[in-house]
Amino acid sequence: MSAILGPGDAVELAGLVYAIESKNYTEDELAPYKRNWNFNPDSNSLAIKGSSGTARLMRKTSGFCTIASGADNVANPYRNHVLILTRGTSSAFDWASDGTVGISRSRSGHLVHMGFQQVFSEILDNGLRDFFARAKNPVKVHCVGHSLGGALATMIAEWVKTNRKAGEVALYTFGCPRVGMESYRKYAEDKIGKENIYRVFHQQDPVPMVPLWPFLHIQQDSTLRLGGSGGNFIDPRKHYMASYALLVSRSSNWKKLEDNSWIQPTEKALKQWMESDGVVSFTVSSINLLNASIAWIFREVFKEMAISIQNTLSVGMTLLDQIAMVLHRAQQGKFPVSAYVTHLIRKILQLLGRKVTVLAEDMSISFIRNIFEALQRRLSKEVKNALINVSKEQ
Amino acid sequence: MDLLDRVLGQKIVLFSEVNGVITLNQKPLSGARVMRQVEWKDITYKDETVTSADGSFHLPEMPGPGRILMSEFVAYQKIDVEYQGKEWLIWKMVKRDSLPNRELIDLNNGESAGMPIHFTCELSEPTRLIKLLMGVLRTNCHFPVKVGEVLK
Repeated sequence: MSAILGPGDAVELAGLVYAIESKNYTEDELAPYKRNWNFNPDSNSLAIKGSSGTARLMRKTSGFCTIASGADNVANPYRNHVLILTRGTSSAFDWASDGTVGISRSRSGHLVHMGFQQVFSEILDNGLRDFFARAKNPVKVHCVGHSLGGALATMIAEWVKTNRKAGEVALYTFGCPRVGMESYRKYAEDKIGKENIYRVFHQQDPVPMVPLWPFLHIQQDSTLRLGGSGGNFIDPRKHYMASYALLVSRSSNWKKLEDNSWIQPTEKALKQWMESDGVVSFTVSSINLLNASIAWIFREVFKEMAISIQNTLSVGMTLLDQIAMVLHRAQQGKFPVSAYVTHLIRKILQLLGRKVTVLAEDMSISFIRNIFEALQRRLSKEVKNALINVSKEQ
Repeated sequence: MDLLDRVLGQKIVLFSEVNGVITLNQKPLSGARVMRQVEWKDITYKDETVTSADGSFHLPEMPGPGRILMSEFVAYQKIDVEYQGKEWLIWKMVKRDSLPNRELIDLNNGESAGMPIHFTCELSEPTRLIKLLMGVLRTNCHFPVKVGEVLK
């Protein structure tokens, strides 16, 4: 296996891409990486058309990507490798927590977040495809990104492997939101290879918590989880690159970053949680339990209804409409999971601090839709409240 | 800027307070113009001062407008010194944290509240590149304690 980026390099490069998209940026920023990476657009025919004047930059309204090639010297472990750094230009949280956004099909045919897919397509059409048409069979492509840039890095890594643009690919993400649904998760993990995915997230960072359903993380059970011993409340400050850099740079290898203390809740634990009554507060652990419960219910629904998520969820409708439709159908049916759909909705009502007085048979599609929408709004509000508390502290 | 960002979010410091001493050929330089510049979101912010008889100068914290919410802070900082028609660059870096005193952050001091900027600069000395936690500082200034790693 060829060389991988260490945690320190990966986190620095994920941060670097923010600093090089400006007319003020100078070569100084690239100095630490020059020995291994060639950001010079004039060599190796790596020039990519861009609107910024410097040829290697690709710029569009909402996504941005920089490419470097491994410096051509025998001592360089990244010789004949390619490095792709991506970033978003708007807040990933706003994007990913917007339930009115639709879903679309990835180029490989799987359901993904429509917004992420659009930005990825822009990047592809604005030079990435051309770059790979000219690239001479790179040994390995390293895709690095933070936040929305992590979602783009994921899509690029999957595209590179699907289209056989390189022998190997490695994906490094920090505070990445969920990109696609179950079939996409499975497909991307198979293509990229789970052993080549380094998904770093802070447990209090709200961005990896969205979009809620039925989106899943590539490498859902990643052990590269930070802040394990910290608080149980959402802390938007943990999303900043400065926070990730501080926590990750110290580790000399990926093994040292691993936190194996977190165990995914079992089916039994999820059922018990959904069945339980009482006050639930909006903590990191209840959001995790909620996510796991929703994921479990969707899996069961599709299993019992003998349909695939691909056939049910269609391109064009908003996510909330589709979620409401599927859950309503499952609840009105006579499946073992039907009762849990009701439990889940009641649990969400508890989380929202609302009285649970509605009978299962009275839960219409629009009722379910409204509850999920309210949940989404509540999550956004929690992030904003957390920020108010942050500003009070200062 | 979004309304929400202005009400909530994190306070913005474009350039932290700077206390420095300027020398030329090892002698304190009096009456030199110290010009500070920050570029943030395509807007340029500037201030300046003049060194006293002992070569020292002070520039206060430079606040930015509003607050920042869930987006990355990227501010391009520069300090130039002008004396008798000649100009020297003494400081150039990208500040990546909007809080005060987060310029000189390396792995050893990253978790602290931040180190105040305090330096002595000899103008005849060439600038060097110092690798910080997030980015690179080009400077010919020296600090009371070791900061980052000098890039060869």
